[in-house]
Amino acid sequence: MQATRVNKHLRTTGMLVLMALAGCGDGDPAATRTRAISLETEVLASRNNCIACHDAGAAVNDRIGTMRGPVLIGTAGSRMHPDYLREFLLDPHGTKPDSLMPDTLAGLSQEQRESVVEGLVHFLAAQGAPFDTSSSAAIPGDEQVGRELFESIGCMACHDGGFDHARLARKTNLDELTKFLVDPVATRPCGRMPGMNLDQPEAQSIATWLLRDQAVTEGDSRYLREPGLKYEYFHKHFSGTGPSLMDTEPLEIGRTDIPSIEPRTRDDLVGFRFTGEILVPRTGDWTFHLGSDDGSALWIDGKQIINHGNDHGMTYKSGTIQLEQGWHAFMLSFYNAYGEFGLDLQWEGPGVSRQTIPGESFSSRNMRLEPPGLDSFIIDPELVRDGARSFKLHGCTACHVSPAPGMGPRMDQLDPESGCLSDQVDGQAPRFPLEPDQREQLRLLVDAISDGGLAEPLEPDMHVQMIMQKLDCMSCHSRDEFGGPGENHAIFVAADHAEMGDEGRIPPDLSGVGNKLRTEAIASMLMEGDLIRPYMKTRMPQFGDANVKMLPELFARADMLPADSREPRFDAEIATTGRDLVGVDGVNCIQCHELAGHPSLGIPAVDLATVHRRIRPGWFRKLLEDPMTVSPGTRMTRFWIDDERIFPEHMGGDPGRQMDAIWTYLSLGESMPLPKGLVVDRDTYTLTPVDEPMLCGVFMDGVSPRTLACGFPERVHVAFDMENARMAKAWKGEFLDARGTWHARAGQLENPAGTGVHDLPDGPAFALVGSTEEPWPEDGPGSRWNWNGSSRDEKQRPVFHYSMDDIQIQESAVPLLSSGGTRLVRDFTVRSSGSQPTLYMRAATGDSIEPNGEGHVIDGQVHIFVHGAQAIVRENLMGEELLVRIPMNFVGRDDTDYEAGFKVEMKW
Amino acid sequence: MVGTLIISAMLLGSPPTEREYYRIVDVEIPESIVMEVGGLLALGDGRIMACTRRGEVWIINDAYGDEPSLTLYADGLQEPLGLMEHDGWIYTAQRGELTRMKDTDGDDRGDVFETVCDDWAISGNYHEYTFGPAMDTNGDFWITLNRPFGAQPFGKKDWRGWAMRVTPEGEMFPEAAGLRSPAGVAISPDGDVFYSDNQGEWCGTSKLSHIERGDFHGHPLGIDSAHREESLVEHPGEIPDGELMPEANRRIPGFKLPAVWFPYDKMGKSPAGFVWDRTGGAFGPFQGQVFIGDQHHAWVMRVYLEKVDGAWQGACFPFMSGFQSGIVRVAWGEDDSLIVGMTNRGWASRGNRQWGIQRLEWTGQTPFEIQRMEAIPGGFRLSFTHEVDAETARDSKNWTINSYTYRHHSPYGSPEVDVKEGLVIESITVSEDRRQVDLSVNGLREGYVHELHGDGVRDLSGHPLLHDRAYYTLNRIPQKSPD
Repeated sequence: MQATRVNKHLRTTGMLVLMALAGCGDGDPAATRTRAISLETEVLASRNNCIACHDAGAAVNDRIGTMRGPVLIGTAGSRMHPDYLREFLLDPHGTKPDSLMPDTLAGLSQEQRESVVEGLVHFLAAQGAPFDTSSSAAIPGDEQVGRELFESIGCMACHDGGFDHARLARKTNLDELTKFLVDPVATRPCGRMPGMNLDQPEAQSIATWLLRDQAVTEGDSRYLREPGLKYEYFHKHFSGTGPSLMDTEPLEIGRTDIPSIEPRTRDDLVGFRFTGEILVPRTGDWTFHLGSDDGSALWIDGKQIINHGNDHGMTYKSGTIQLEQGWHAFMLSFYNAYGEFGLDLQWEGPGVSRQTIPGESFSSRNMRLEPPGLDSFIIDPELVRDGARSFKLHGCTACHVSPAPGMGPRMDQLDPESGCLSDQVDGQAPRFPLEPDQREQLRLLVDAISDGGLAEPLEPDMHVQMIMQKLDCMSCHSRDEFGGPGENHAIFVAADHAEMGDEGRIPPDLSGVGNKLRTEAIASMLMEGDLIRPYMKTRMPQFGDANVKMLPELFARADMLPADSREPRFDAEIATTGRDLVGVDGVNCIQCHELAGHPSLGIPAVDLATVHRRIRPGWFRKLLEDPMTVSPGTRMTRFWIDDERIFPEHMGGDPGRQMDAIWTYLSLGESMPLPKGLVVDRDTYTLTPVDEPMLCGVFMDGVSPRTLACGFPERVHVAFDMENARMAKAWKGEFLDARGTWHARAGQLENPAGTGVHDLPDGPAFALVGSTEEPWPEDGPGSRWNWNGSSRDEKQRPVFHYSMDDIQIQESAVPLLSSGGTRLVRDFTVRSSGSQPTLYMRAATGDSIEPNGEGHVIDGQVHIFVHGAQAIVRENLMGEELLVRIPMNFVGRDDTDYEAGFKVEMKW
Repeated sequence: MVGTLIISAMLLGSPPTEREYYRIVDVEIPESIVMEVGGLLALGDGRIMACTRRGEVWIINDAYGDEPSLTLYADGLQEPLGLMEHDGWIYTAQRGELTRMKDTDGDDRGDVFETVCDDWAISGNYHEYTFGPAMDTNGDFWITLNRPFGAQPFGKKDWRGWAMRVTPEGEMFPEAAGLRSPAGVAISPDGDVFYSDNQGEWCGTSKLSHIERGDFHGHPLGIDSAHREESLVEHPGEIPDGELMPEANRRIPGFKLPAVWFPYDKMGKSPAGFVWDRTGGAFGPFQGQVFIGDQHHAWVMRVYLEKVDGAWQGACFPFMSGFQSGIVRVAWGEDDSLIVGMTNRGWASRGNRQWGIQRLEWTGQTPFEIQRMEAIPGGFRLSFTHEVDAETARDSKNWTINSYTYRHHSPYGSPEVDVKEGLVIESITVSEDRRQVDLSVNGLREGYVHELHGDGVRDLSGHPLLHDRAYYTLNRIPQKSPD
């Protein structure tokens, strides 16, 4: 007389408790025992693969299940170093304390054990191709990328206690670990190490990080120098100076001896970034000449030396820097938009005349990984045969090949106090890494099974719990108050592109998920890697179909409420109302939610086009009615409050019908007509001054985050860098597309919309220069100009005010209609209490500045006329520069003693 | 007409609604103008000035009438998020500077834009907003600097999450640190500086806090600027992650608890601009109290503040919902209506328009409200705007008090934790004039929010409270009664 009753409501202490009641009528109180078999105990039995050796009858076998060990046959030899196999087999739990493998050789004498292990090592080493101990080059920077991935995508949910990378370095090599990480379930079918949706480069990065102890060292460095540069190649419409550090997904990565665009596969809309180091042969001033078509920029030691940005023909721009002899960090970015293209980097310096920088001047430092050597290990066929016998004899096949239920006694014939569960395991019995209380739990389990317990299949929600525990889903997800990251939440890293809060960071709670998600949606997430939260760094792992294929149906059976399946009747007109409600003049769902791949106006919350195919209608209604109750802590807005009719014009103001209308609209999926406000016309943010100037404060690419873009009806425009108090750019034609500043959360870098973008010299526009030999200063002490604000003239044109000590500058930008096109006149007034004999203004810099008529021509492009002051051309370290001597006159007025007025007219 | 409606509502037995006491009036803006309000200023003569997130400054003529007309005062400002007038100048905070501007020739266009102070830098991140200014009683300006999220193309900068005092001469004093998203800053009638903050990391729920020199308000993002010479804040050292608020307050040097917590969702999600009622009763029976807009809920809340043992604390109440977009700014109109400036760009709100300006007018009818909730030794004193029905007020079943606090931690927001439900109300005393009820409560906890519900309480005409809940942040239990 036995009864096994499942009580799914006993969930009080965090244990799911099954009561196995076994009663005997002989009057012995000890015989009437109540045994509590927790679900954890069943999971424990499953993890330790008890069923693989001990048949418990079909029903119990099914219920507890097996967890297959790693695949060894045909692969072990190529995956693992023979020395590691030996080390592990001699002392499995000493080598890998968290290994679930029982030590089946513990009953042997040391001598016997060593001999059996040697056979097994040779047998395993013969599985697959021999282990490759040659070294492999890591991709530069991969170690860091791998670390970031490891620490952000969810690996830490299980591997947070520090990872024994020293052990891993003895075990395998870069290629094999990479292959393993791409598809771990192929090697470990049990699914406890799931795939993390890694592509090959990602897997290799993580493998590089995990195998960092294999780095070959040279001197005290783990990095070896390799000739040439790393290039990253992009297909994109760049502007400015090409790929920025925010462009992180190149089409191709490779190596090149010099910065060259040879590796391109097309001519238009391409970009390159070259990184590595450059060898400076002698200490001194080095001038770089960067020729490109279109834009480019050069950085040495992290400092931008040349900005040769924007669309232009093949022209050179130069920059000079003092460099010590030796290696320096090097980066060059380049892009071509359309048409002609070219790239050339030259240098000149002490003992080197101007020439293209040769290949031997470039290198990258790189890490090489090399597993320990094989010494004289040679596979011995005789030992392989011995090993094959031992592999069978010692029960390895039960876990590593296929369950062998005859290997041990039947479960109901086991004496739980002896054999592998006894307190002092001896003889041939395998040693499982069990704690005393775990042994006690398993003994109770054996008793319960012997008494006929656990023969019924688990209830769906218990079965869900069992699978979730087996696969460690609970490390990330909570369900019904169990599991979840808890105090460990810090391992989930926030998304970096928007403030998504914890919903963008921590995997969702799975309570009632079978009521929330359609069965097919759960299946496609579990088995097809359907990613619906691309904003999360943490990735939903793939556990292998065999391990999860029953889950979708189980979730549905555990959680589903049939009443929640009501689907409103489709009606095209109602769908249109739904569209109105989703748009910016309605509930405005798109403020936060993406829709059919179009970004939202705010945070990148779940794409609405995916909602209908994933979510059950009843859950959707409940969410809209009260988001905080359905999804505690959510930032989702509750729009319909009490009886407030927030949209009286739609569906008679009835919230329920409005929600149904939205649902009907969502049912169109990817073919939803886009709602108002999601996609704006190309010209929505185009600023075109017609009657008077237009001003727009922006973050300007390559200038500063405080740039005042000023557009004029005369179609020349300027950008004034308020942060550094200098005119930064001038251009013609179209003024500005302010989308990056005015759309959604904005904050994008802006660029001039027009053509003929002319960059004014970097650094201060005015400086005190003691002698003609003294170089033009950079921004800094002694040439720190303060931005004081602006004023408007009678035509609403801006006048820029800046000062240093008691020198005050007013600069206005005045378009001048002229034959051949509008020119720009920079009109200056300078005031000071002194005569400032050393004060100069720098009007231009270039490779060459030639006198031409009344003015000067800069690099054959810009014609500059200085009015009311003397222009001086002088050489500088980069080429030539055009200075203006400030003609201060004594005026003796109340507001100033000295004053100068002059103009710099630019024609281009 | 309004009177008729109220009477018919009473006859039908349905409880009164907010709209019977306060009226939302649209300020009509031409469709071509994107009025995403960042700052509001009543200029007088029927004119209101508004600055927008697009960097424009508009003058709205005849703003209180049916057909306002708008003129552009300025453009090109960088996301200005405040407006105030002083000494003939209009002051505003742009992302990277405190600016003052003036129309010198009387054509309603700004001609002079002077940089008062730009001693902090920005990295080029969208979330680097600067809020303010507000002017304190010494004539100094206060601004608050938001924290960045995500890309910082021009490099990480100092002073994010700080409150700055700027003298009229432009000297900057970093007074307090640890702010998160400090969307409102204003000065109390007593001259104290307050700011509002939004729930998120290190900010368990939204709050209204008093700023004093040296405060650390909890967010560690910009705290290392405390090592700079100019800092007036001592670096608090390592910030423990996960303490309950009262414990965090004890453990972290300089850590400042807010005067009022706004429990998440119950009291908005994104408080922003706020003002004190200085209308002398022209806006209803809440003189001296705070009205604060909430961007997410598109509503205005009410706050009663009091000083206990020298520190501010108090209660918040729902006040008026149903505005057309997320409220970022509130300001008093020259007719003592409350002008409300709105935007929901980038952040969802319950409103159903993308931007706009509305005004809130008192109808002259007084709603039945908890006018004040004061802490007294061992309980709370409630004052009402109507005489209460003593029988319902004396019935302890009609009152519920729960208390809870928040965790000071790195995850986004905090649930209500260490919750105690249904505190025992030992005794209830109704004052002779039936305007006050003293609740004596068991188990009050310092550092906890005490959430009060009074849904069964009626006034003499049998009406329930218009808003029957209040949230008192009990930082300190007073030792002696107010008189």
